[in-house]
Amino acid sequence: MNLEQIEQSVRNFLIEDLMKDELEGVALNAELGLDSLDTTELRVFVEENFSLDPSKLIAEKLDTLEHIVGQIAEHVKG
Amino acid sequence: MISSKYSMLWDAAASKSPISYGELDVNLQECLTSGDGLFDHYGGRTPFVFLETTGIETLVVEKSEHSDECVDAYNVINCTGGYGAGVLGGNLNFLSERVSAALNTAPVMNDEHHSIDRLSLVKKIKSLIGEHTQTSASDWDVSFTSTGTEAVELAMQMSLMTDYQLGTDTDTSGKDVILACHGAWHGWATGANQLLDRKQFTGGIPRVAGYEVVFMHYGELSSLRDMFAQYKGRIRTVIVEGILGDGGVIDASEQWWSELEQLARDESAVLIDDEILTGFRTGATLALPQGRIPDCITLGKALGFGLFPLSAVIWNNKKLNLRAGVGVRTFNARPFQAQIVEQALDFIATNDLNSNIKLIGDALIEQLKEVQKQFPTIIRDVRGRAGLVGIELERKYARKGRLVRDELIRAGVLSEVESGMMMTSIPKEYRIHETLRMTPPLGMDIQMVPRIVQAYVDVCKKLEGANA
Ligand SMILES: Cc1ncc(COP(=O)(O)O)c(C=O)c1O
Repeated sequence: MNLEQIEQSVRNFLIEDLMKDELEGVALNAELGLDSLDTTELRVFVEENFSLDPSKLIAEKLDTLEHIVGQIAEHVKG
Repeated sequence: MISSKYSMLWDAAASKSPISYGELDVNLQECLTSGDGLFDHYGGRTPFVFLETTGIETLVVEKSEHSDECVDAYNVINCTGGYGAGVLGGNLNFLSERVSAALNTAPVMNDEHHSIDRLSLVKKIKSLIGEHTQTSASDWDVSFTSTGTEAVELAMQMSLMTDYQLGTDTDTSGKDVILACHGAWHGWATGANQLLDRKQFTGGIPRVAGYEVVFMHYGELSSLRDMFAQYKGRIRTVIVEGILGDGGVIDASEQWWSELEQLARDESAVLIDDEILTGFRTGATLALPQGRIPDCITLGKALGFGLFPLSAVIWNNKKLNLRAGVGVRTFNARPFQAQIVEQALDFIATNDLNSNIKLIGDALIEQLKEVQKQFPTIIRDVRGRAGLVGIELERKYARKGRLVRDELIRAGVLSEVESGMMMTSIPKEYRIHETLRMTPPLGMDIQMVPRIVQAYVDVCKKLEGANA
């Protein structure tokens, strides 16, 4: 999976699963403002969709799309 | 209301005029500014301070959002009883003589000894369960616990210990699967926690070794049949709620219950019906269809009438038993509690409050469905039964139930927020958005219904206006 595909999949998750319509088309480096419940769901999503151990995700870096995609990409390829 | 020390605030609520913060007593000021000091389990408690109740109306205040110097007061119809416990609302005057007599005369004693007060309550509960399940009252045994969680723990322990042979240290059932429901809530203890399927509750709490807990979709026939087929011969215990509560107020059909009972019987599995939220709420003793016979029933919340924690485990004594020494606890319905609970249960029967709450529930559901038609972008569904009404929010508010709940308080109605089922692990077609829950008191006057519905209309208008 390349960066673009990962980004699209996270975008879909934000809109379809978290129902954050306000994040439609959000810029890569914009603050997403996810709360702890949102990030819990994000971890489950990452585990199920990328077979990635969610404890590998650094909590402080779940703030922007760029950081999230970057973290996933790093572990998926590794 | 006139003689209340808060009459100034009641008046302010009636006239919808703010009051000066400086005029309030210092404790109230402290509560408004920094809260009551209890730990915040919610990641954000509300700004509201509850002051006093007359009948079903509660005086609630918060600091004005417009000025730090001002406080807004609201007269709020309490449709929750505090997580569904206060099933008679503030209608408890009839208990005052009994309470004051019991305070002086009820023995303070444990349950190694016997008490006439307990005898009366036990007989009453067995007979109510016998009537509802159309079985003999003598088929049932009862033990009391304090919280709902404790009742669930005891029920689960009993189901797991019944086939355990202490002499040989072996389990003769040979079964290792517990079947529970997606989105269910059964309480906050390590045992009850095994029955939950949400990461935010289960993360960090160890899973019990030797058992696999699997989840079905509540009320779905195909899911029920699939799970029993897939785990045939392995299912030890099945636990379901009378109506799925925190998962979004979801009712199951008579056919689902009847197949569930049959499948559990064919599998020789123990069927636990958790009625902690639903007991005495839905116009009957239980939400379970009459004539269905689970092996074990848990009651809680309403059993203590919002006054004290009291819960119960009621089991079919042909199927389950408790080893000597198991389940002993400090509180097992003290005579004081037994006297009060028995009188309150009589009050429900004498005043036919079950019929009343069915009328209230029907009216609320019918009228709120009209509100849904008017505001389809805010309300997704209205459902429930008698004293358990759910208003599922539409996408835009799917995760903003707390915001809507707060606006409803300002508009004069207290509701609570059920989580629904928004977990990524659940297929999209089964997901349920956050759902507002109302559990109005059984004796509520039907005249209150239009006021409640109007508050929902007002809030929907305000939300729609804010989005325009
Ligand atoms: C169905 C159900 N079971 C068990 C419990 C746990 O009860 P308690 O909070 O009194 O421990 C609850 C509480 O919300 C409940 O709704």
